[in-house]
Amino acid sequence: MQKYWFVSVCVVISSLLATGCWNYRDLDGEALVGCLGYDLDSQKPVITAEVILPPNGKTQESGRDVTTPKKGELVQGRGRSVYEAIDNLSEGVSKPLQLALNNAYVFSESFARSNFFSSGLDRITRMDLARRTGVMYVSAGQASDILSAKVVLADNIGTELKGISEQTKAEQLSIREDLNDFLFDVSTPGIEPMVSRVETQSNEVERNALVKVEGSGVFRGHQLVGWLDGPETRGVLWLRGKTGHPTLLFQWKGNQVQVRTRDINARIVPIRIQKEPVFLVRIHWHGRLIMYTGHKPVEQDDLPSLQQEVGKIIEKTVNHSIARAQELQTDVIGFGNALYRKEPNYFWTQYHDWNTDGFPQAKIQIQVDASIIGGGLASHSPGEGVNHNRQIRVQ
Amino acid sequence: MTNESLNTITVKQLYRLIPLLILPTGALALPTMVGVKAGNGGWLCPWLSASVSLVVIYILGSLDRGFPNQTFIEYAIELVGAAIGRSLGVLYSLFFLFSGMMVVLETSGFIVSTVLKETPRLIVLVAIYGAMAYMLSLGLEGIARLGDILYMFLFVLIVTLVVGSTKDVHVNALFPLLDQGWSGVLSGSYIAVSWFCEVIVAAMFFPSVKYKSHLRTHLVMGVLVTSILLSAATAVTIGVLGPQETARNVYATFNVVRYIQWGEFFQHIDAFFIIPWISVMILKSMMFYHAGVMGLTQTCGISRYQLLIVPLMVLSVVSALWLFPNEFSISEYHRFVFPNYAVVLEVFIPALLWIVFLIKSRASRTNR
Repeated sequence: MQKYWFVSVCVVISSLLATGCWNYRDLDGEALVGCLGYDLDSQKPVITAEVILPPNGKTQESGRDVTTPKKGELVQGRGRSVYEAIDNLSEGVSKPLQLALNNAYVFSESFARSNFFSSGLDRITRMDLARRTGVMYVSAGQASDILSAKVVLADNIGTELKGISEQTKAEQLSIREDLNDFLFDVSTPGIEPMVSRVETQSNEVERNALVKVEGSGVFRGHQLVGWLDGPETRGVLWLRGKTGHPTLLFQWKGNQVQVRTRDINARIVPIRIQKEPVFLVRIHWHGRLIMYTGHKPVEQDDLPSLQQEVGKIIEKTVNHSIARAQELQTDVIGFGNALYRKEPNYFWTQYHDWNTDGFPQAKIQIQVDASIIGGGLASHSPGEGVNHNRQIRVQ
Repeated sequence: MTNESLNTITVKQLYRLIPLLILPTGALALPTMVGVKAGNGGWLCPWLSASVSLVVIYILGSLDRGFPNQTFIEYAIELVGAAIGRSLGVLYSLFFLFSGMMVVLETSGFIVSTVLKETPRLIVLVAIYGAMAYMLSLGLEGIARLGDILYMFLFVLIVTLVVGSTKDVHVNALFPLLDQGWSGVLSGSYIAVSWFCEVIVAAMFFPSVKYKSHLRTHLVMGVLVTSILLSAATAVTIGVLGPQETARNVYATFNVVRYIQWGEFFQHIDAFFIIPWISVMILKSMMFYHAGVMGLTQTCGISRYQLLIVPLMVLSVVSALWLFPNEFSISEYHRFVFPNYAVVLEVFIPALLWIVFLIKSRASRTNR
């Protein structure tokens, strides 16, 4: 009997000390941040947070249905430094900021071009609950305008931006870069980070405009140095060996052809390591024919010519992307990293001038091997191949 | 030997205790520590450290053949005489207790910085030591049975970590191979040697192992399994975060766990990791405390080891808060202090005892 008493006392004490009872936290007792926006106003950082309002806790109080979640409220904090701005933001909210559910970080162009950007990253990575899964965006305008944009596909802008970033992986007109990817690129020798570009769809800055994601902002270290448009971003992603499923539309023998990428692999090989380094890029593309407007079905004999045409488009796209990156003097493709992997000691002698001197002078040879592996479930277009000259015999 | 300590364990249970002894702190802290020195070659460090550990296992196995029913401290007294032997006994007991305290401090630091941010460290320490006092009073058999349960958890945790983050691994991060050279890998391995050679704790359990056939084989298997798991965890951490980010993060492996995400439905799995991880950490500290308490009992000739448990637990709470008031001091201790003196106690002194044992046994054979 004495033993049972002892066990009972232990159970009561331990249940009191269990975190669920002793140190519980209500969902509405914290400011759940869904998205963070970083702007510059008169050379001072302004941080905007989308605070997600949890549903009313009516199920606990009266057993009634939970109301649907509301769109997040925006709160702002400003200061002389990022640290001060975050402090002021926290004080303004009056509840502890909870970053565990933060889905996106949006930086305005002016902020990303400033020295505040690196301290912003430092502050984020030191926060206990901040996760590296939050996707990063750079906005040509104000980040706060993006946070107040109209939400169509989700409950709040943070979730919407995260969802859009997943969709961009297919067409590859923008990049999906989360905080971990950015930190990896920025800390890896010979490759520079790039971040998805977001803007509001209407030309005028207005509340409730829709967001549009296309192209990317390219960085040199912790500083934004320029923009790539959609096709240029796609070329960089191909060179980085990122597989998506973009479609390519082109003219072939006077007809429209559309192919869909199944996978694409690229390998960068340094072939001359001198003052003007030479790189060979081997690209392997596999895809399917998804549309062809010709009168005859595509046959085996047509494939080499068709594949050559696909190869030319890929070569043109990647050449354009390389030229643009060289113009911006930032090696977002990773030629320097290929050099570092092959000749680390030589690369360290070039490290400081690589972006501004070595990479812009590099000669790049492209070899594309395109292979069309199928034509889908139809042999020709609807209506094609029908004998329109046949005569209908009326009896 | 006291009667209470005669509760026995099997050689397989001892094998399961080896990964549970080395891996918990290793997997959490090793990637960060070796990342600073060895760069992307950090995943090789566990293998080099394990090779030193295999030498220690050979030494301990040989000594156990000479003194099959005695613990490490008991045969140390027999080999080098009462005065030096008892001094060694006190030294090793304090080493085991102090190492156990360090594990508890790491555990409490991990809990306070990741889960219970508002809870004072004292409360966490008291809760851990309370649970530990109860388990220690049950003896080695209780610890081994808990080890049987947690062994599978440890496997599942590491496999989930590796499989879950494979899609996010940047293979380029691992090239050029050994970016900091062999010297970096060697200096990184030096830190890990102190963890791998913690197998010396097992020498305090040998008399409690029944049917000791293939004792050394089981210990070697335990170390090899640990090396595989630790190497995989380190490689994945470097691959996901990159060598520089791995070195920058205090709990790099935990950051990778938090990064694991499969679609919308499988994410935020850190809570799934924290609970078994903390259990494994506490089991590790229990092994150290058991060895320390037994060592003091044998050195001082105390009849019941249970008498020492509560005073030592109270003393540990006080000294933990007094010696290490913040996380920075724990991290510095692990990087600069522990590897240096642990190597002396875990490798050099056992090696010296083994040489004395060889000389003595050769002399006795010649006399015969």
